[in-house]
Amino acid sequence: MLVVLVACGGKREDKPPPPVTPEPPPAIDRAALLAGKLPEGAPESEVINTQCRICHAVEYLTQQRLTEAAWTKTLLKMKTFGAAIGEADVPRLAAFAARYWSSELPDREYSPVPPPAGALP
Amino acid sequence: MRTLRADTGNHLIELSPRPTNYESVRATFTERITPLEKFFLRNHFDAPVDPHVNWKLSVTGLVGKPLALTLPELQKMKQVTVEAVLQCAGNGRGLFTPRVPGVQWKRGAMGNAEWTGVRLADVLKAAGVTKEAKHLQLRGADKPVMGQTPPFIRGIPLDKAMHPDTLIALQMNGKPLSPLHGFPARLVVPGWVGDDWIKWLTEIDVRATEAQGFFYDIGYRFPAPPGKPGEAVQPANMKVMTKVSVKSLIGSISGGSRVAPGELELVGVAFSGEARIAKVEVTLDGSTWQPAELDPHDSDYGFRVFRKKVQVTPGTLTIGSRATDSTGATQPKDPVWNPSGYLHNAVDLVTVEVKP
Repeated sequence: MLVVLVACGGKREDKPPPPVTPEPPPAIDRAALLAGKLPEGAPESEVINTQCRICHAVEYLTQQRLTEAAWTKTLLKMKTFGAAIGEADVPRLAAFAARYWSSELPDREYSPVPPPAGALP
Repeated sequence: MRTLRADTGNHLIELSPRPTNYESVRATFTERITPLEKFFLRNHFDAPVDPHVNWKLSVTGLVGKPLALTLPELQKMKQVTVEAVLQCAGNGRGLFTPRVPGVQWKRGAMGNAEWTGVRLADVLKAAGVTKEAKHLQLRGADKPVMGQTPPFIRGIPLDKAMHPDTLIALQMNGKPLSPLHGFPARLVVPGWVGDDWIKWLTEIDVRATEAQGFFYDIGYRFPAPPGKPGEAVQPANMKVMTKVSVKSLIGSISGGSRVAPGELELVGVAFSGEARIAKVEVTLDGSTWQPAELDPHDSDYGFRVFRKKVQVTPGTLTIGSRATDSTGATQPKDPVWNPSGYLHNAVDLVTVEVKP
């Protein structure tokens, strides 16, 4: 209580801002990642769903195991291909993708499926 | 008494539903001709809807007589059949370290088919290519979603185009091409990487200079000389890929599987771009090799099936195969790393437990 009073009593404008504790990143749902799914609720997932998926399925992203540098290069290439990703979003998306789908994450284990429609004459 | 369960038809691994990218399961690679239901699918863009409606193949550029051929016109021309392996340049991309971006193909982006159609040379002769002609620029009916995305344009030199085995294929394994395999017509460039085998082929532009477009100028290039793994390569050192490298795969076993002691038959396929298979060896310990038997059926560009019966005793085996082609080229122990993960042809080793 005393600490609070002291803290409130001085000249507020001279005090340094309180330290900002970064929000912990959302917990990784490893099973979902290994099934090739996007993390639910992440704002970056929303960008992927609304932009990247215009041209391709999320599996194009979720099967990669790339570094942040490699993701930056890929995202810049996708921007030249027409992806509506802001310049400022590139580092954020690269960090997101590299964090969730790092080289430490094992590759997805697939169950074989029949040929899709159009594969056979 | 229960009967054996019917074949489920689950032979493919869905790497991406859109665009359609599926690879064959490993067990596919024990037979010479890959059945259509087991054949891999690779697409850059969504497949065109009803590409056969108003379909024409145009032949323009350095020709005396530009052509716009219909499917019935192509069907009336002399038809020939060529057996050839189609392999995506990125087959094995997902096996490189450090990892590289792109569809993460492992082992199944390859297949061997009997392709039937018209010789590209016959069409070019009908159009009368001029003496300045040196290259073909090729394009199909598939289009990217975004206007800024470069179209899938590729090119091949005129001498490969005029080779009697280079086809405008209308059939695959005796049936009309399926929508996802390029109906009504696709290019077949035997021995060369799949990116040249343009599907839904609509444009042949005969030129004095090489094709122009992202997927020719920048994409589908291999470093010469190769750089160190993970390092960037100078653009000037990136060369257009042509023929595929010698390769083999045992299809009858899979990594992490368990087999009983006694006789084990290893069966697989081997192939090389523009050479025949001279020998295939197998290993049970990852380091010593013994010759396998090659099936009699041999062809210029197809799979050569190999077999080897071995006696196995309890323990852990490291099984793999190594092919050598008629030029003496053989599979390396380690793949040649490159920034886009092309032409992986290292020996594929799998660990198998032998237990009673």
